[in-house]
Amino acid sequence: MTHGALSAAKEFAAELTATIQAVLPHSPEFQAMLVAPPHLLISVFDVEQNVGRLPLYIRGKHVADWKLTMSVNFDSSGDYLKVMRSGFTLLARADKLPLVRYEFDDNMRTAPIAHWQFHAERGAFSHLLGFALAAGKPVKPHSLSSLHFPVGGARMRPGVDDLLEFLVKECAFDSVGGWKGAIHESRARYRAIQARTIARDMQAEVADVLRGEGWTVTPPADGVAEPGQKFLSRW
Amino acid sequence: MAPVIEVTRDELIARRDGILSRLGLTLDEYLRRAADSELSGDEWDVRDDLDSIAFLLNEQHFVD
Repeated sequence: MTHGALSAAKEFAAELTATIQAVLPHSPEFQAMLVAPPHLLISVFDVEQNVGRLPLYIRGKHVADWKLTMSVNFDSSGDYLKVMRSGFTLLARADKLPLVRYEFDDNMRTAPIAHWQFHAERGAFSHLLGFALAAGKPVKPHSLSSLHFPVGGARMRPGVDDLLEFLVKECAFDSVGGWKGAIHESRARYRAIQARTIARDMQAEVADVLRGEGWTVTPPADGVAEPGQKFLSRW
Repeated sequence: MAPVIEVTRDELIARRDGILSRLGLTLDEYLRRAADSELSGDEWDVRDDLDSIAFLLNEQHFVD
């Protein structure tokens, strides 16, 4: 692992800590777990180095937990991080089963790359899936959580800031004063990175838009890159 | 800067063996139960650990 990669990993974990601690009270520090050849897991870890829970409070009472994991590889230069997988789980303290999960997996082949799963019951939905099962379709009527609800693919998936805002605004967990500013800062950073990546995937489209806005855009001498098929085609 | 925890592949494998041993399951049995949406609360509780260990070991059979 290069020095640049190690620094980038530490910075990424420190940035996550700063954002989350500016939004949710009593949030622990994120750390980077590293194994060679360089695979990296960024999360909160307990004393046994298992993935730890972050506490969630309502009026100061610890009522729920959440987990966040970021599984990271490095690009071919070895200097830049690439998030390959990320996971968000919300848990009530009264139960070990998750309430909801959000996951991103860049290598996903069957389910949507980015998706929510709801650990809930809905009789009518199970009844509906029962028809599909009876028709020989590969569904699991007993488990609504087996359904993956797609959310924008790799490039347009929610960022950590969206998950944090969901916890504060939708679930009404306690927040730290000034939390909105931290979320807006994090979101602007994340979406700028995603916009740059989309621009690389869609160069001809971006050039057309820029020309329409009055820019002068000259294509590279060796031709314009083909649109990123992964971006265009995967759910 | 955040701290870095360095672990070896052997440590990760030993940790996974310990987790599965406490559950009384083999990895294949766990993955099958996960694929069939039949994980219990205790089994869900270690899901992120098993999933993360698989990633760190560069294995492809993650828990869905």
